[in-house]
Amino acid sequence: MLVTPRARLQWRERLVHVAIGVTALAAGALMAPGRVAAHPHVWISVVAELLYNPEGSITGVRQVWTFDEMFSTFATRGIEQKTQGTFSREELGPLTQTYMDGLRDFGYFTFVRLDGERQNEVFAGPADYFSDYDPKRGAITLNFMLPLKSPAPAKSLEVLIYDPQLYFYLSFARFDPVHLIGAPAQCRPLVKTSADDAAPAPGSIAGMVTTSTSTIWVKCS
Amino acid sequence: MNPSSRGLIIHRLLLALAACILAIALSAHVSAIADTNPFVGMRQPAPTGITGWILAEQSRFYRALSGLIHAAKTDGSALWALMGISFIYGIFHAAGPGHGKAVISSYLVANEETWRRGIVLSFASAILQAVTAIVIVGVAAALLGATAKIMGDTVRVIEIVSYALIVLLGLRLFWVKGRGFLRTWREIKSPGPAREAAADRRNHHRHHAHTHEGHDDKCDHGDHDHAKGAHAHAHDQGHGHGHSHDDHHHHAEEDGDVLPWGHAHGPEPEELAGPGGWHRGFSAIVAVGLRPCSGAIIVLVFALAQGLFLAGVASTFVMGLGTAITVAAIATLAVAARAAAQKVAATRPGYAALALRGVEVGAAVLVIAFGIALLAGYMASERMGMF
Repeated sequence: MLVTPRARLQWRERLVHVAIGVTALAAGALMAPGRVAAHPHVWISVVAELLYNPEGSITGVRQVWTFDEMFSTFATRGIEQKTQGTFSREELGPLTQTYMDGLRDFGYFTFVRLDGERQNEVFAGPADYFSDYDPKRGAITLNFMLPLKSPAPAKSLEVLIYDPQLYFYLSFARFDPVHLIGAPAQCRPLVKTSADDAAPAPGSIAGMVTTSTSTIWVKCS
Repeated sequence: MNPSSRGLIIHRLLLALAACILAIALSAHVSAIADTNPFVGMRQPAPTGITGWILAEQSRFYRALSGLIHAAKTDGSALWALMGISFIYGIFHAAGPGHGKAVISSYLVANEETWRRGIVLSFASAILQAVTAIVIVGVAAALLGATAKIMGDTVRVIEIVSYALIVLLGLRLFWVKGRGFLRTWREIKSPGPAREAAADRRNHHRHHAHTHEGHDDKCDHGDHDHAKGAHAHAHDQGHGHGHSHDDHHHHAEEDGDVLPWGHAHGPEPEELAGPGGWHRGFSAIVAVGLRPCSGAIIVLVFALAQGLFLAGVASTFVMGLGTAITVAAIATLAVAARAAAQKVAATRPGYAALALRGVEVGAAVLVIAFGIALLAGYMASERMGMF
């Protein structure tokens, strides 16, 4: 039988079809986990403090989260205010309680590693939590303290602050984001800040890479 | 241009699109693997590569959004920039999870829909998502002065309804497709006429696919029609394919079985536009589109607080258009994958056809699984009670 140009075209067409199918299926299979792609809705700037006891062990992590302006506007919507344009700590009380209750299920997006081992259930629940409103930035700041159940040696401690599902984009504040409170004088915090907060080299690939993870560790010389 | 070569070009474009999305998915996957174990050395559990880039772009657009809404208060021309940024933000935002990509794609595969219908479904559900967000903020925040918590609770109720609808949609598909699968299976098992009939139908399908220019995409064998008892309709209407349906009648009667999948030819153009045609997709549109994107709600509330609610509404719709483009692109891929499988099945009667039925059943199961996972995930974790 003669192979007509048309038949050849059909054959090629079928081959292309198969190629599309295989590629699409592969893409679909890889996309299926669904949570792999970035999808943040709330941007949070983080300032953290590591608290030391006199023996030089870390007793807890204190954090201040500043929510982005749009989310802050949403969150404070409908909350009664005595003074127009701002909210008092008391007025934000119920909101703060809701957030702290909700954050419990996510481990406060704060994770700890000690001596190379990931630690579970290290925090004894939040203490000293409250929210303030910064009228200048139009932003809510959520303050909370996470005491460690037992003080940890600071030597090999790492604290990671991030939302694994990237619903919340947590990144260190631009300036001076980590403090050591009561630490030995020779110790200083090391941090990894988000790439988009740093000044990326123009045109570099690194400039496009970013992170929503804030990692803290302590180095003592 | 020759219709076949035009089809070839379209298919090449689809292939290129598929390759691009595969590349994105791959990079996302690789960074996800890094993501799952954040405690390996000093390594950052951060999304890098294309995912990181998408993330960075989103951050930039998000900041630009709030900046432009501020600016629009005093400078009307900022509205144009706001619309542009909203559109691009929508495209990037929908690249993340949610927005019905998985559900719509699975639905399209299971229900043998055309890519045109896939695009329509994507846009309709994205616009419905925008409308839901606007109604919630318009009524709850603007008129009733509701708090974020009340809005969040409202969204939560809508989410439950939406996810339950997705499960129902999947169950219905599973019922219809499961029966189609069993029918094909029986057809293969029973020797003789039925088998020939199947082969004949498949030949018919090929014939149809290659001689009716531009009809490729519509050439699906809608089981849904069977489900609705539309056998008679399928036969009586006279499809004008230049193919006799008599043999089918003959074999089917001889077989004494329920009509197999080859008979109803899926939506004709007029049926596609008609009320019956849209009605079929309606349940999918509602199931997926009912749930508003919380991002849109935040932008709307912010615009409302700045006294620019209408700008927020426009921005939400434009964002929905961007979202729809991403969803439609992925839905089109799913349809293309199915069409490819169909082409292969068409050349090999019997078990290949059965495998195709199996893929449909699998896609229906996926829809159910997505619905249940969404429901369960929702039950397990409410995002800080914010939404």
